[in-house]
Amino acid sequence: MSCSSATPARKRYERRVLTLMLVYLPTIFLTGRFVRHHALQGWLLYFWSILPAIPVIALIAMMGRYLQEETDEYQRVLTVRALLVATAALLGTLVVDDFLRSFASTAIPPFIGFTIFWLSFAIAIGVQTLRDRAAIHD
Amino acid sequence: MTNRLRILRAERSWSQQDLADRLEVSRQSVNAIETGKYDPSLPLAFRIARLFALPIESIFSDSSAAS
Repeated sequence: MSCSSATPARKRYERRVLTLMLVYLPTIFLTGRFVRHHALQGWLLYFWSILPAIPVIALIAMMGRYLQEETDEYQRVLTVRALLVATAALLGTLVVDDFLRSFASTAIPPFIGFTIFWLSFAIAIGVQTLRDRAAIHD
Repeated sequence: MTNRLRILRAERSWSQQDLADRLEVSRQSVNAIETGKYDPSLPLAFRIARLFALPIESIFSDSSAAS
């Protein structure tokens, strides 16, 4: 989905994502600072540990809102297909992680699952866009 | 499902973007419908039919029904 052909709903989604990223970056910076430099314990440690997850969870909610607002049904289908690819990649990663934990007493490093989800989503969107672009007749 | 969208568009000298603007969808959507990669929903098919002032069945046809 190129920026130039983005639907109004897509543009709104991209603006919201940008805003969330502007919230996320100082949050993760502050969390890192607080957790490293203060010997936090108890609920304060849990609070600072969970804080950066809030904008990330909001990111997922924004995707849901985009799907509700998108009036172009084909764009909606492309997005849902990409989400299915990403979900499959994430589940595959989680299964591998579970078996590594069970039998090898090791685990995939943190945030790999989340990175794989969005990377798979971006690749799926990119492949579909390239395929459509190759087939454009005017 | 096959459709005559490209022919109808060519008769009016509309580009894919012109048709997309009239239907309030993306050019990518028009292309996907024209090339048969995507079958539109009933509401969108009705919108297309209204735009060309034609019945739906004269734009879209079930290719499996012909055989």
